[in-house]
Amino acid sequence: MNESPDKLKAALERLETSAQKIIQTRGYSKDAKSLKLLEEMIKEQLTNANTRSAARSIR
Amino acid sequence: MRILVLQLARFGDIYQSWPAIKALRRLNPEAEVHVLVRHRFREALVGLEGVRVHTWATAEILEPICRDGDERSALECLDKKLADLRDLNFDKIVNLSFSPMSSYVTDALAQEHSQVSGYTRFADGYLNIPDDASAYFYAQGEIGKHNRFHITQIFGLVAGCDLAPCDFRAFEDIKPRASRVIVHLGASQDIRLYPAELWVEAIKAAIGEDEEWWLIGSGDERGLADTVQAQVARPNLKNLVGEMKLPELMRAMADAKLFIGCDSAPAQIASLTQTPVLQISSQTANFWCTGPTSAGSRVIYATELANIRPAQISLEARAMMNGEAPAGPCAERKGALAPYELHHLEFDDDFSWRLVEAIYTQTDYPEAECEADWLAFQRLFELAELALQQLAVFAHPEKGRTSALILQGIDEMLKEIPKLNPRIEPLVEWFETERLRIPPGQAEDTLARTQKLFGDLQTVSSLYRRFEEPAKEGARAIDLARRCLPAIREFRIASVQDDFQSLLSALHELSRHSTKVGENEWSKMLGGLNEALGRRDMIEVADQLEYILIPALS
Repeated sequence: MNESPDKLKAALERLETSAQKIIQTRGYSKDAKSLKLLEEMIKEQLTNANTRSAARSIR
Repeated sequence: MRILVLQLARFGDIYQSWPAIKALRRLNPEAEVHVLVRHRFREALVGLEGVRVHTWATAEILEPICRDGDERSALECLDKKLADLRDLNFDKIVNLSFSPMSSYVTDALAQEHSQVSGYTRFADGYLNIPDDASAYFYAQGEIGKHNRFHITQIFGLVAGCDLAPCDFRAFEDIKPRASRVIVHLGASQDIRLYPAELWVEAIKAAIGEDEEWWLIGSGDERGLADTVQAQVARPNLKNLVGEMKLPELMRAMADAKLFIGCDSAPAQIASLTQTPVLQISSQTANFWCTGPTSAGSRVIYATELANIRPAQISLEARAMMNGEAPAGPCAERKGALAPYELHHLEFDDDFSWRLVEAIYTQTDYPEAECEADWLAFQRLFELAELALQQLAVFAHPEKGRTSALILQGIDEMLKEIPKLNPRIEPLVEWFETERLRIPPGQAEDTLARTQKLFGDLQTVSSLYRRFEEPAKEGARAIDLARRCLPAIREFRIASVQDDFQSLLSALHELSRHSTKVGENEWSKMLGGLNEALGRRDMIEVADQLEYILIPALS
């Protein structure tokens, strides 16, 4: 997966836009939940986030 | 009952979750216990009996995106994985991973009847921290903060279990230990690595002729191990780096007399096999939180790892092998549930730790130790008081807008206070975390809970309020004003920052006790001073102090 950061970044941008639109129109629905989860999975890959302490900026 | 434990961090965190998982099994003998870990770290559950393991396949889910930029297929794969797990209909979900990603997984798997602890999401998608232990970790647990509770105990609390010594044992039977010392030269992060040349010196001085010493680690640490082995050049030092899988290492560790290394997964394994650990630690890890728990373990600490002398390691290793008292400064662990005992080792954050203890365990609040402590608490008190005043008129149709702006300013200022005095950081972190835990709901409920929190902040900070009788406080204010004046007139207010802050606090305190100072209204006088400060008009500030305030207070 490490060799595809550009594809991950592009997907992340699309997911963020989609999630935002869905949350604005339908609230935090099942679809929005999946999008947000996928978003976070990509962010972890891109930042090699420390999975313990990365919780700081999430609200 | 069906329980799911999520541990989506790494090897070391999974091993440190064993006690909580074993306690869940012990306390719920009829329950099915399931554990979800990342696919690449699943090996860390081998040997943990009586649990059903599920793996979180990050690579598989993200593969369509990495290959074709296809997030639709990734979403389908993700939804399928979630549905398979959700079908198991868990009654209780315990999330032991403190990460955003895990909070979304937990939320996706929880059902109406599920009892959830650990990070999850509110109905509006914001972070939800339902239990106090997870909230504690969120507020105080990161490296660089002041936590001294062990992560195994925090995990136990998140799981709702009182841990027992038996929960820390990977094997029921403890065999006689061979004269073997296992050393892990590597670490989970480069900043936690002890220099190779210092390892060589330490091992050379510590290795006994009739002992077997093993170097262990992952394949990518082979180069480091080859160098150290070649330079130590002793036949009884075996290099097994890259040759053992973690479950094999666990069995070997159970027979070893001592493990030496930094904060890494092998050290967590040693804790589970009751093998005494000699850990070398620095500020890049928090040994209080993630250090070894096996009885007799010792931690040698320095701010920088490279400042730990090889002789400290070799002498301490020999002392441990011979069953002797600590040879030098260290933290010693007497048992899995006993806290570390310090031997000639001191830390400069005792005040902050005692503040943490007071906030969370109702011990006595520590005495303020310096002027900066008094000032910081005074500022918190004032901000809490101002916030409560604004919250009282928040619902007012005309005043509400202004109070919202003031409250926004208070939020900003709250963040600044720990920057000025990091020692009081635990209180602000507690407050911010508790505020974050307020669930979405009716405006009145949110308002009431916010008021309660600011009230609590005011109560705690009021413990540190310092106020003499008005005459004495007035004299102190005059003295402070005179000390500050020359610097203010020369635009060097930063050089008298502490005195100036004390002066402002004293003036605010005085204004509580009377509406007038001399012939002047306190509110006008403080308003004028604030206005001049806001304009950075230092001449005006100095003039007000010298020609209005001092004469009025005299």
